[in-house]
Amino acid sequence: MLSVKEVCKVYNGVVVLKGISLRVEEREVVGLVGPNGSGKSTLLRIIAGFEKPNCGRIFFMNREITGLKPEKVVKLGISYSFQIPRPFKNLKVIENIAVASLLRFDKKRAFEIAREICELIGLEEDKKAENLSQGELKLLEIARALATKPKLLLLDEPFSGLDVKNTRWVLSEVLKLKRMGFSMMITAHRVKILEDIVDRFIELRGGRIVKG
Amino acid sequence: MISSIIYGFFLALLSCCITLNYRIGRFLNLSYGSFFTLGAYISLLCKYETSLILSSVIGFLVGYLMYLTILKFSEDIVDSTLISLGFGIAIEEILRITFRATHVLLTGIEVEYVEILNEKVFVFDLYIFLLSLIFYIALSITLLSSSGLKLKFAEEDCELAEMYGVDVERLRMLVISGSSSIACLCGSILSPMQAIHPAMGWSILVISIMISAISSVFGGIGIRRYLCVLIVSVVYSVVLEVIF
Amino acid sequence: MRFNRFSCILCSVRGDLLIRDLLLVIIVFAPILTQNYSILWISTLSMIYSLLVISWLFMERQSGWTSFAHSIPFGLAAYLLAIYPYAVFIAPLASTALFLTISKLDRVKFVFVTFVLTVVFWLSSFYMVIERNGISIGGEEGFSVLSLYLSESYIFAVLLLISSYVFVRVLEKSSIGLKMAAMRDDEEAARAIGINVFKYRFMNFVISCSIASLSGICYALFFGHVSPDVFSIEVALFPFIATFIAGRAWISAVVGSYILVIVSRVFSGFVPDFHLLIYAIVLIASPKLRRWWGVKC
Repeated sequence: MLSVKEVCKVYNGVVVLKGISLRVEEREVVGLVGPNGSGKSTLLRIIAGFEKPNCGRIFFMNREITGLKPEKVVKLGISYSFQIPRPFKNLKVIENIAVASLLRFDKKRAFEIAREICELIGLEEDKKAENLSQGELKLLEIARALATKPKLLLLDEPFSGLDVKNTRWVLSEVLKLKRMGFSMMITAHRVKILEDIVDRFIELRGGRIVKG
Repeated sequence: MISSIIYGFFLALLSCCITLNYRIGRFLNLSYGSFFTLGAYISLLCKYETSLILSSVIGFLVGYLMYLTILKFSEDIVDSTLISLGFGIAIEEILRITFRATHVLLTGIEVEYVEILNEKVFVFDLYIFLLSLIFYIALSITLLSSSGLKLKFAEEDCELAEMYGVDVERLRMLVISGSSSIACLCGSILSPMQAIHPAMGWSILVISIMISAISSVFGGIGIRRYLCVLIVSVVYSVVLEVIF
Repeated sequence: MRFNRFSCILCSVRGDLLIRDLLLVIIVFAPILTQNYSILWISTLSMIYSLLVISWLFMERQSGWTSFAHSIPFGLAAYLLAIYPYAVFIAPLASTALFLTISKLDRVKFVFVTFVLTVVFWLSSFYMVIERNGISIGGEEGFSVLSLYLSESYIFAVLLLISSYVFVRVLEKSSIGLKMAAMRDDEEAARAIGINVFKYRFMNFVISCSIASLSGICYALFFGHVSPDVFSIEVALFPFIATFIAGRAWISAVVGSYILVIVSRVFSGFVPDFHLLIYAIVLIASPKLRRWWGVKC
């Protein structure tokens, strides 16, 4: 499904990623772990199209997506959720999700899908996004990514900054998505938190894959 | 050529003040042109020599009032800029309402000139040149001293500078009030050579902002930044003379 | 406390769509009943400025870009109508291109640069001189334009205002409006869900500049004359001041314009251009006013 070949990235002379090659198959959940600065988020951002790699190629469903803009990547079926939630503050929860559905559906259907996702994830439809708690914001990020009907979900540290209660809540929702058959690539600092979700781990250290 | 270089020094003086306002005052001072106009109008009210002192004082006080308003009302850079624009328009309109006439010429002062390298240079231009030199010397001494380090610190990161004991608010107050005073003084010095009208400051404001923006592209820290402003101003002035 | 109660009342009025639309109808059509020349004249001018404010508010509210240069499409259209009417369509296109170029900077610098450009255009317009039949015209004097009768100007302004008002309201509620709202809040997050930010920004700027240009055309036809005043800072600031006085609802664009035009006419009898002091006061108080309008009931 997703194939990353020898991708590298350099920021201001610092090598952030070097010779990264990996694959993600359909219905597979891959955990990308590593310490701060190992390049996990950078790799996800490169796949999502927010950054261009300095070398290497990326293929999705046998089509090259290296260097494509994010709005094109998401149309092909890869959805990205930000590490620090970025809600549309002045819109309600349902509008936040519906605007993502507009990628593939008309307005009426988009709001129907948004309603379904709100029920699935357990978010209050009419609440304004700026009034959500941290846990709710994380879920909104995931819900918005889901609304684009992706084939592959890229979740960038979905549990960071959350307390125990909210972590359990987000974890349970991500598990739900796994049971529904979504392919996912999830980043985290620690292996333990992803043990129950992922099918396999890839460990990054200093911009290289050391395990997996 | 000499006149254009002197004009470049004048623009550098104003552009440096715009840069200081932006980097330490944390806003784009859109009232600057109006302070220049205010200085020009003050020279209509009294003797020329008295008007120079009066314009510096009034410029400082009105600048201080603007600083207090920004301190009280403003939350970010756009708020402060809008407040400065409000002050600029208020000064212009008060002058327009008070003086009524569209254009005024200052009479009773002889416009003298001196010859430098076979070129006639007006005495008032030399005063401005002198003011610019004094400003640059004072700025250089400040930046090269221990106070200069505080200034650079405040330019880069206000909050961090405050945490390390730099009185950022006092610096802001001095920069805003001081630069307003300088603009007012410049207007007063050059008043005998211009047709005084309420909108006379806008072109100078725009040119100063453009010079400040162009020189910021070249970057630089400390005195190098402000020398860059001087170079850009002089080049602009010389190019203008060559083209027109 | 009194402020909060007043703003609550205003919020509830603003919250009721029917009342807002009824208010627009009353404001626009009531002057006809008076059959008073002065009232009709002020009403027409107010509607022309309302169009300008709607165009500004559409850019600010829908895309999040605050411009201080809406006098540029306004003035360009007016000048082109006077000099070469067939090229009047250039005004919105050129203005859009200008705004798109400046939008490469961040939103804060966009505000500053648009203001500087306004001053540049205004100062340059004094040098806009052309030769016609061997005579130089323009400059400070400006250009003459074929003018409409007051009744024709009034009808033209009413049609433009109502169609623009309905258009922006309908667009806001559509899927395009929702995407623009998302883009306004966070452009990168919008790109992450497939929104082509450049495309919607372009669309937004074109619509905004087109409405502003129509307003400029209406202005030129109303007065029968254009001068550098169309590019003035006063025109550039008008939308900003109007929305700070009356709020950021679409109807506020109309109400604020009426208030400003009436105040300027009332005061001009005593002190010419006194209303500009009101602009200055609003600008100085704008941070407070913005927080006040942000108070929720």
